[in-house]
Amino acid sequence: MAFTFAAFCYMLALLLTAALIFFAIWHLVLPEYLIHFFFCVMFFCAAEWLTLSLNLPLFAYHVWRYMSRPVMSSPGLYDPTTIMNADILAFCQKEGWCKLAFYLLSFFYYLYGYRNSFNFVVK
Amino acid sequence: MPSFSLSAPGPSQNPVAVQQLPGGNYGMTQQPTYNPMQAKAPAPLGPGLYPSGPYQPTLPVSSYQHAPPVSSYQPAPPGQPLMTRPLLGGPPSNTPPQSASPGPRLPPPQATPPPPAVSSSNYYSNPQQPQHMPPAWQYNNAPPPMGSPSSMGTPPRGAMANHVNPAASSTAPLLPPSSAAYSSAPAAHVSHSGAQPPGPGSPPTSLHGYIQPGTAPPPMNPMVPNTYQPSRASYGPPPTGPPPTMKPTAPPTGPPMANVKPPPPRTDAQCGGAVNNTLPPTEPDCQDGDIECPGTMAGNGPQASNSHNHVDNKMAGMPQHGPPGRHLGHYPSLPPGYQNSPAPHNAPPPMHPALLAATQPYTQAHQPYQQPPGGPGPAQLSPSMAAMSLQSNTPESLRVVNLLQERNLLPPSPTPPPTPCLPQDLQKINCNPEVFRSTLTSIPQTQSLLNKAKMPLGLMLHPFKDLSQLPVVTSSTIVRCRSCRTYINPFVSFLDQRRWKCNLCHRVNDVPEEFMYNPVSRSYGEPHKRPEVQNATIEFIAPSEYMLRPPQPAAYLFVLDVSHNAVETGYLNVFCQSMLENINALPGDSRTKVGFITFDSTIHFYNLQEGLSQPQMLIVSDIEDIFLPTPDSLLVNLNECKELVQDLLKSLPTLFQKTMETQSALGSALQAAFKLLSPTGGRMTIFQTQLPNLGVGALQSREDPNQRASAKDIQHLSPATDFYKKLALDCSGQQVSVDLFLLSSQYCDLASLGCISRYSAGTVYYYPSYHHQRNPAQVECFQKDLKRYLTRKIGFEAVMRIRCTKGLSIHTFHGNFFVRSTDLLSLPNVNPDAGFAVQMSIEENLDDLQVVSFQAALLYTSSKGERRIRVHTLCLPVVNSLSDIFAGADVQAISGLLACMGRYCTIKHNLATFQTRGKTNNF
Repeated sequence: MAFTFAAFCYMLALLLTAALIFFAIWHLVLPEYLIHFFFCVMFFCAAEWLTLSLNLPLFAYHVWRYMSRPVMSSPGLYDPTTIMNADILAFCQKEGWCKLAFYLLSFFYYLYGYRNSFNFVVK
Repeated sequence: MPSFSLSAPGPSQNPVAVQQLPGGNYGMTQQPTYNPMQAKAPAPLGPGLYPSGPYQPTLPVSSYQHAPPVSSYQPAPPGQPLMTRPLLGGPPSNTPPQSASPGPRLPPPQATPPPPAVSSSNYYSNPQQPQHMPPAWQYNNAPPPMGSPSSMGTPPRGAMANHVNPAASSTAPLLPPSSAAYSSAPAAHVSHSGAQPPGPGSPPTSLHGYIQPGTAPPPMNPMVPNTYQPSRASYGPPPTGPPPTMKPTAPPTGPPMANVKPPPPRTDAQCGGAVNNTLPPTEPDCQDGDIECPGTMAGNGPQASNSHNHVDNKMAGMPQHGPPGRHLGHYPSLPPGYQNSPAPHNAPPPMHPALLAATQPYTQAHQPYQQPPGGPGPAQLSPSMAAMSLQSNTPESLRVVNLLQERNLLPPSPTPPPTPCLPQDLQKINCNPEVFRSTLTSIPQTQSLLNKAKMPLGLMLHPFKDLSQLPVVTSSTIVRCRSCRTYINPFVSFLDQRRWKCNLCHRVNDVPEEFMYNPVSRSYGEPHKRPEVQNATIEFIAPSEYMLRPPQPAAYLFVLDVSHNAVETGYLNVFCQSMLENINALPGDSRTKVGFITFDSTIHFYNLQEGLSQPQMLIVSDIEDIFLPTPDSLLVNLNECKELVQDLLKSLPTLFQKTMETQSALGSALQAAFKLLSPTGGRMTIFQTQLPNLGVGALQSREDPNQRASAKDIQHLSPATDFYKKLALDCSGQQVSVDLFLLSSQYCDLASLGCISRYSAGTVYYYPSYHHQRNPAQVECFQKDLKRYLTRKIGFEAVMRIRCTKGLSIHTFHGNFFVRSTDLLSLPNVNPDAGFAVQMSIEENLDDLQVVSFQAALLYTSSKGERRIRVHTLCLPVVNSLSDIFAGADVQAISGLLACMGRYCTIKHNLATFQTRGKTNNF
């Protein structure tokens, strides 16, 4: 029984994804981006290329989204003066739901990955 | 932006006139065009419930720009009336007037931009018009000549001015001396109108229009005939005559005839057509036709409205839109291509084929004109006329409008909005469209039907518009729906004596005991006779539940740029003068507070504490960390310290005369002002003349002059920094509103600066190239705006909530405010010129509803320290067919809303995006 780094990554991702699910609902943008970035790095270090490739598009989206945020001097993504406009609000909500779905799926994927890498080592 | 000043320069007086603007207004900041006159005294004219003359369309920032006609303004408007009348006296006789004012008719042909000037003149003139109704009218004929004198000098600038009502212009004070440039424009009018009693044509009409709303249209007709004929006679002469007089202007340039001719025919023909259409009964008479054209619109409008026949209304209304403007400049300006229209006089045929199809109108039209005989006359008249008629007859899509050439697109007279198809009793009490209107007066049942109609659904409102008859209710309990908090209104249904059903959420509520008693009739048991249930617009004196803190006093803080550049423009004199004149007219009570801050690279405060022998200037040079030197005595009670304030105002212009300081620390000054006002809330007025370039909030010139012409898309429409936005939100939170007067000759990043007003419910007034000597038109404009600004009503610490019947929801808000929740707007200040627009969407099918209602409730503190709630309720029918939707479309409101949407989309994406979306109607 060996607890590999990959297994550790999956375990961590599993926990953090649970947190992300809530962040996606509550729109805690910066923590969400940071956590996601964090375990992308972890998977990179663990050389879990498949998992990393699944996460990269979202990571890229996050970068793009943050780069194109409204002009703001403070951190944050949402502009209080425009967020109440129905189109922007609807977009942000849709975005939230999509991410929620993604995190839910990836939660189970990490669960599987964790078990898989763990078993692999055990054998 | 300048080019289209949305707002109609038109004097506020016409209620109607205002309407046109609404759309425009909203888009940007609101600006009041107002007549000083009106501001104070609402014009009695309008019979309607809300005759409120004063109302001003808010203008987009740019609106003011018309300025150009430099000298023209100067002639004091007041004098005008007199001037004109005499001239007019010989209405028909164009010649005499001409002599007086050389400029007359033809000059216009110049094709140059002159038209703008006209507008400007209009602006002013209007105010007066109302007063002299009768005369004005007549004059109209004459007036045109007036305009003529304009001097070429003012040139291009004017462009902006356009919208103006031709009519106004004509009447306008234009006074002789001024702008030659205009002359051209005016001339144009003149030509047709002038020559004509035509006045009838555009100018008169406009007047007409105004008057009519209130008064009876009938008078019109009688008038017309008389004037008309004479005019005709005059016709001939004018063309010829004018040139001589005109000396200054090139206008007469050979072309007049050529240019003129083509257009005229059209107009005539069309006019006739239009008339016929609208007024079937009307005879072919040329007189009627001509006169009526303009007039008809106005005249019919009302009638139509009564009748409920939407279609009719539209007919009348629609045309007006387009044409009005045209008269003025348009024909002269027409590119050669357009002018081709072959036939000189009669040539109605030149019109679009479509027109021909129109048939009857045409023929009739012809006749009239021909009769006129007088050779040249008709031709001249026609241009304006043609424009009018075209619209009415031709499908819009067939008419080619070169926006670069035709700057005057607004109708000369207000267009009555379509009347919703409601039962008579509901219709009578429905909200005044000046205050509250919908783009579609018939609401589609479903979103899919709305999508099919491809028209935007939205509301335009001026919640604080000056009203002449506003029922005010003082009552301990304000009856509201228990679930949706809707105020009781005329469109609720009483199930029985003790229960009413909310028309927004359909909940059944109890009628409270107090409501059973009717204070008006002093009877008991008639809740449906209470004023709340009889008036769609009503004001409540709010009890203490509606206050978060004691009502604030009126507080005004003026922040003045005194850098070298500012002193150079000379605005300080105007400001101080205006303040001195109006200091007693500032809305307020015994608690009114006032303060002044000036700034260049440092911030100067003025200690006005009672007991000082003279104002004390305190200079803070630490602009990075601003503080208030003496927090208590900078914002002082106006009544107690009036002498000191007056002293300060008298000395201020001279104080900085020699300054060599070129930098501007606007950001710090704003922070200081915010600190000063935040304990009370109030209004902050900023005067700025250059790009702020020092301290916090410093901006850089983002615009590359080389890119101006070549750029496909306008760059830098969004703010460069969020400093101003954040500050505005802070201000909004402290009930401070910031109004910006921008008087600059160079780039000053309005996109960034404007945020300070945008989110604090302020107003932006923009006077490009303001200079006290070089640009007198702007100065005049500035003075008038300032006067209106200082003396108009104001509401403090306001919030507005817009509710609508279940199934509808608010999609997007347009205007200056901060949206606090999905239906709550935070408005630190609200003024009568403020306009708002909202886009609506239909979330649930409205199949089971006959009518839907919208309610806007504005809670504010009056300048007298009273907490009040003003409630407007609008009721509209629900329809299920496309044809009904189209029949009920309000073109003015739609264009207003589209302008707002276009602005929003252009800033968020770019103009091209909006254009492509517009094509697919995918907003």
